[in-house]
Amino acid sequence: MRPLVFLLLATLLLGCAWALLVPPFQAPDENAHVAYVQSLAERGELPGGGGQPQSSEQVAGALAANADQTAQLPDVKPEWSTRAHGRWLERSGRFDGHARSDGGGANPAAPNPPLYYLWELVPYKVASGGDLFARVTAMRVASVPFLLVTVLATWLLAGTVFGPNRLLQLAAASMPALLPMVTFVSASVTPDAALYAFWSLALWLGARLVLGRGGMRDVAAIAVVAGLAVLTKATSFALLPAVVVAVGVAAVRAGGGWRRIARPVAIAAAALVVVLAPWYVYAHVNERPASGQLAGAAASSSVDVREFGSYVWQFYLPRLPFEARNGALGKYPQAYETWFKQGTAAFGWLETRWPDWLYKVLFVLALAIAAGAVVTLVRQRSSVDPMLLLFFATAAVVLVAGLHWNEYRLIQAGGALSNQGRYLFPLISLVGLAAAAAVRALPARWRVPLVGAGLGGLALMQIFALVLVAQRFYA
Amino acid sequence: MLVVLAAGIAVLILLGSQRDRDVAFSLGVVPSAPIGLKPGAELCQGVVSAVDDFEAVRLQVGTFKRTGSSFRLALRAPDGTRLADRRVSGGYADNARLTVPVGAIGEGTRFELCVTDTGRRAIAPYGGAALASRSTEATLNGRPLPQDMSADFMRAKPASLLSLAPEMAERASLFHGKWVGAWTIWLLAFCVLAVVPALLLLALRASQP
Repeated sequence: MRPLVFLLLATLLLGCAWALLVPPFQAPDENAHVAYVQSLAERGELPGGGGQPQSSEQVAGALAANADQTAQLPDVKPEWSTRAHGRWLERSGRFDGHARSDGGGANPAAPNPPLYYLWELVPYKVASGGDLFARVTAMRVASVPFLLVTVLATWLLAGTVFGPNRLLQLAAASMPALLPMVTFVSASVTPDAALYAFWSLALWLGARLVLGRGGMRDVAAIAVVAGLAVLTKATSFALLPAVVVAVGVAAVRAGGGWRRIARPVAIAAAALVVVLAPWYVYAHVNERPASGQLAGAAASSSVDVREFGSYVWQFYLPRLPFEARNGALGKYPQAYETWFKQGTAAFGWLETRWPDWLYKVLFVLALAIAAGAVVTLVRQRSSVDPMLLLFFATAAVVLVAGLHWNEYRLIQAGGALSNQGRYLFPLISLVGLAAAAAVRALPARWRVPLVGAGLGGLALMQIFALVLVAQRFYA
Repeated sequence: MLVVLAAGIAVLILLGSQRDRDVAFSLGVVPSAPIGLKPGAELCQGVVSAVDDFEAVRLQVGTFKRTGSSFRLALRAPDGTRLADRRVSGGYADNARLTVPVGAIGEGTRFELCVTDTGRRAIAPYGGAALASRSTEATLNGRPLPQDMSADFMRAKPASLLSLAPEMAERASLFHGKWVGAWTIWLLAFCVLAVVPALLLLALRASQP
């Protein structure tokens, strides 16, 4: 376990570095997530009622730090002046309880389920003697343990799929541990950090079940984890079909007649209900949606399936002569911009990026990793469990399809593109698996040096990303 | 692993030591909309608090597709004291970015930046939406404007990213809670540059078959 411990320590340090380097509210929707936690902490209520979206304290803090102006505008810097900071601290000390508790109105995060925000109550309360930014920093640091869980789950997943091979497990777990965008998002105040952790755990537990290494405890565990994922973000409904596949395959493979097959299914269903029921009852009683609603989207009934297919086609592939151009999509291929570039490096509110040529170099490397994974898959085809591939494919396809469906409905309603690269990070452990599979495709003597080079490259990406962010905000 | 890291860090040091940072700070207003200024009119933006030393001001000035008119650029302290007063001759091109030397102005100085059209034709310094610079305000002949003027405050000599590291650490430590100081940023920089690679090296060694 020593390599895992070393990797987790490195992940922890990087997470703390990101948490402290990024200026407050310069991560996607962080202001809305902070407002959610503050509403719970100071008002004891979920946000989304009447009142202003953010408390007077948060509005004043954002103004003092020049946060709203800095967002998305690379030429604009956050407040640098130590005098201005001193004035903020002075003013902050004079805020009464009302200034902290007069938020709670509707904001983009308000429809989210509360699990992650309940977790963040702990650091918020611990740091409540400090100013707003002390609490934001504490909440960011408290998000980092979720990243550690993501790394641990990826390590375990690789161990389940490839057997106890430390080098392959290290190669797999280094992807969530060291990819800068994953660390950046996970070290900000956002439920996405918990989302990645729960999805990674579910994929590991599902792989155990499919491969016949899990018992009834694993069945209950995957249902609980899936339930927690749903309580974190509505995106996680996309995880449920994969959970059904895993539990179904495990039940059928266990054999022994319908009763024995029904038992794990019943256990999973019961565990899911136990986890989800309290929240659904609470939401029902308080007349609020239990899961995030897609604001501003066209109704599903008004969606043209053929047009949806054309949008998805043009997202990935060149437009066919008979297709009408989808005006919302940018320069072809949109998938490269949305999934790859934004998933690799788009810090702040997506505006802080590397030069274009660097993405191209990284894309070639990503293709090489994918090719390596395919080589391993082909070589091992006789021993690869097709049900395992079905399980992973279900998780991936349903998530991506759901994201496209939502985006298409937003476009239909006159909105712009909404997907971001980070929305694919719930599948980060599968990216890790692909990296490990690529390593396996190499001759044995090359594996250690190439994993070493990969670790060095990823560490370098982290350093370059941190420098990029530092110079964007502070130079 | 060490070879990759060493090569990368060498490139980083090389890039970071290039003296290419000539802007000390800016008002954060993206120059997107010209603010028309008739002959004799005065456009001011203030009160600006200098967060770094500077010796010149850079403006983008529109001239309505004609040869640029002369103007005066002044820096005035809140009590009215003139810190700098420079005349810019006419003849510059439309939408030119003009750098006007103002002498050494120290960090912490509070001032108002004023542009007065001293020529015979209108000019239009560029600005942006009024919310762009929340801590300062633009006025035209003393009346508040729904826009902010855009301006960059330039260093005497371009600085390298490496030479700015101490200031960057100080700036990064602000608005993160009282317990975070520049020392915290330096400590984390050390961790990222030295401890993390060491941990990864140990992980690699421990994972070898």
